[in-house]
Amino acid sequence: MIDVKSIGERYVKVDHKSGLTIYMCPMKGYSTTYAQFSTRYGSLDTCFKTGSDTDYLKVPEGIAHFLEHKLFEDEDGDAFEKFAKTGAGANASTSFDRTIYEILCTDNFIENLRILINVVTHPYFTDESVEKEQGIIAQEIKMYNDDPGCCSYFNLLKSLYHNHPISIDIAGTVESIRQINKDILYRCYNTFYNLNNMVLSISGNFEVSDVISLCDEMLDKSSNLDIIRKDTDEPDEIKQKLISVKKTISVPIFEIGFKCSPLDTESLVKNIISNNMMLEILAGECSPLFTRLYDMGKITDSLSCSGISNRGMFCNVFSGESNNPQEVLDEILTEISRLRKNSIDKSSFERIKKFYHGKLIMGFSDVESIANSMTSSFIQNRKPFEVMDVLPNIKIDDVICALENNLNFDKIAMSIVEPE
Amino acid sequence: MPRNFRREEIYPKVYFNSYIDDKYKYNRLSINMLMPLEYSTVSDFALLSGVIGKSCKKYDSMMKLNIKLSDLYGANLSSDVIKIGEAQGITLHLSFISNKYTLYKEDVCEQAVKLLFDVLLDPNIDQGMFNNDEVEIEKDRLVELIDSEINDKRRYAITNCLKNMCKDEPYSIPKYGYKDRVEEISSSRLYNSYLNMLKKSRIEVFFVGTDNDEPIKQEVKKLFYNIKRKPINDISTIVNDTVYSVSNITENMNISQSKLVMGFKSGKLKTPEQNIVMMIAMLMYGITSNSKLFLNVRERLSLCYYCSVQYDRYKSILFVDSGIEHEKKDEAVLEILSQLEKMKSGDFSDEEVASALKFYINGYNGLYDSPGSVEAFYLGNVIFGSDLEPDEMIEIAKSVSREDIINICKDINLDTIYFLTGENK
Repeated sequence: MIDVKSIGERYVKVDHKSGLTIYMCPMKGYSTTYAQFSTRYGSLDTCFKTGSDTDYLKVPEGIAHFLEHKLFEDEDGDAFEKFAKTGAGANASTSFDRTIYEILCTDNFIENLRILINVVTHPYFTDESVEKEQGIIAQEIKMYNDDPGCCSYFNLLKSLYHNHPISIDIAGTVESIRQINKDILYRCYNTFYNLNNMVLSISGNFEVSDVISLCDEMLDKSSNLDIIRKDTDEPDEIKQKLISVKKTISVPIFEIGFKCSPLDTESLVKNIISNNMMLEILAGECSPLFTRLYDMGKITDSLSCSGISNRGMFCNVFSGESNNPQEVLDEILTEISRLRKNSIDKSSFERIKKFYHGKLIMGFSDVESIANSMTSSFIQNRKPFEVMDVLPNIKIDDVICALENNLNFDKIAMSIVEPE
Repeated sequence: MPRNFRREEIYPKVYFNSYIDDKYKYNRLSINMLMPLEYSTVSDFALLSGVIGKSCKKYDSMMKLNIKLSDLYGANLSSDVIKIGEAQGITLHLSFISNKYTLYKEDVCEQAVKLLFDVLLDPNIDQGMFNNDEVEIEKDRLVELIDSEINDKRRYAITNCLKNMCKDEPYSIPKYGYKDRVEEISSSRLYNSYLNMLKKSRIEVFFVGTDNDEPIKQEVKKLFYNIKRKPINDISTIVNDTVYSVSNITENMNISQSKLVMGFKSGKLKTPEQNIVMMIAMLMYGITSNSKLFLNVRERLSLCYYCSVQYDRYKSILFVDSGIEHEKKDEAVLEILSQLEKMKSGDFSDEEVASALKFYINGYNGLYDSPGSVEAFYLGNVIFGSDLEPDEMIEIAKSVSREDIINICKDINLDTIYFLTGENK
């Protein structure tokens, strides 16, 4: 058991003989048990091979998400029906770098976990079931097409990146998913759903020994495939300055992005925290920038700012609603210059450190967020809850460094969704 | 399982509710002020919820208040309007980390509680009115919020279906009020609305967390001692279960996926016990991913990504909504109705009942794992007029029979079909 005193939890990591990594965090007093069975496979994995392949395979956009839908169905019916019999809530999701299958229950946990492991380790795809799913996913894609926030976000990524797969819609397009068939699904499955590429994270109300026994019983050793993802050749420059589209909405929605070099993986956590603290000081709710934009009515409600970091990419994004996004951009640039000139004062830095500590404590306060954090640590090759150890050691110079380096005025792109 | 939920009426219609559990890492304090949902006051209260969360006398600008919150380890303050049945409320809420997780052993809890009550009871008032600049900013923001209902097409379609079903009833009043009414509110009128609310509303204070609740209760007692109150009577919701004829409404918009909403009336207001039967029936019909709607409209016919039920127990109405292709409307409508007929005629298996029951039990067993769900449960109970604890609800749910489900479904009648479509412009 590894103690994480700062959040009052203890977890255990097991390198299971099957190749699977298992993280477990039993939480005292909770009734719920939550499990995520995940693979390091998402929409970014568009071109890859294994050690034994000679050529790279390029797959249709949206296939990781399609596979996620199809895995929840097997020879003797839908996985949802099996969970329904036990009363567990079950779901699955696909993002840029991972696919997660999850269950949440207060009873029969081991029975539910057995179903979950069985479903994820037994693919069953037929031509008919692939065709049926194309109809359902086409409706999911159209639903996202009508979502102005989603549209604005992906248009920004499309304007920042030339070739990097981060700009691909996670569910693909109605056209791209038509190219998917059961053979490509099996090929992707056999590559990425190898237990060495997967993690099981469990939090809440359960016994560690029960989980180990079940895994011993159900999981055979998986030979470690060497997965090679083809690196994309991404220029430093942005692709285009502006993408603007029209939709039925009330006020324009904007995203402003600053393209940056990928973060150094050695000190990834430190870099991410320093960057987030910098954004909070620059544009958080206590900042002069936010106050000015709000009081002048230049933004309608909030100004969100966040860093997006993933394999081979990193950018900072400011988003919100405004009748004049260009003015918001001008204000942001003015404030960055002012802050660079005057530098960050010690009292704001100390306060933001407390702010960040509190947000982390609140963020690690339920069963879902604990398992989620353990899964992320596997996907990103780092220690769980590392952020709690790193935060106290962040220095004001780290934050100043982020301010200097992560907001390059020559690499700004903007996405706007305007009312019709 | 013994539970330690406490509820006390400390002054007439001022209630202090608390639930303490050592496992929580943060505390959640909220003040809910409830008034009847009325055309004449809805816009004022909506604006008030924007203004009072932004500053107070002690921290007299948004920036000063935000700096204080940030110093309290990123405490999260929000204010909003709520609409539950035909009650409208202003809710002020503050979440902050437990004292045991602070870095320098500060009493965050004490400071946070003081801050929230300062925000409510000692606002930034000068010469009998709120700060004019702040009020004007919030008026613009509220107007934009009202306009923005069109951004979320799914929500927009349900709202329009509801407006038709409950026209001429207070329930059709939108929770953020009306644009033209907002524009005419002055800072002094807003202050009067504020005083009115403090005097008349039913006040429900909730503290769910891990630190000691007794000092907070004493603080509430002290603070409300000097407020001269004349609280309103209990708020009731009119339930009109008559369907005269089914309305068919189609609206065009430039969208790629059409939204179908079917609004049903589900009979007279249910007792807390009947409501449990209704919940089991709705889980089976269209809430779980094993429900009739999910398995047939989505999985068998491949018509949609989502097709589900939302049931409103306060008004005894329900909505089935789905995102579909324009030309599939008739097929979807027929299937949704045909699955409802199966519920009414008893064409469902014992397994379907058992699985809905398990889902129901699962939900209530996990209730105490999050402060937010504890508050939502008890506040909902208080307004619905139920004093059933989760354990008791589970016991009642276990005794629900097939006949109970069939009978409760027989009261469900289609009222409105609303279709938002991108075709045939």
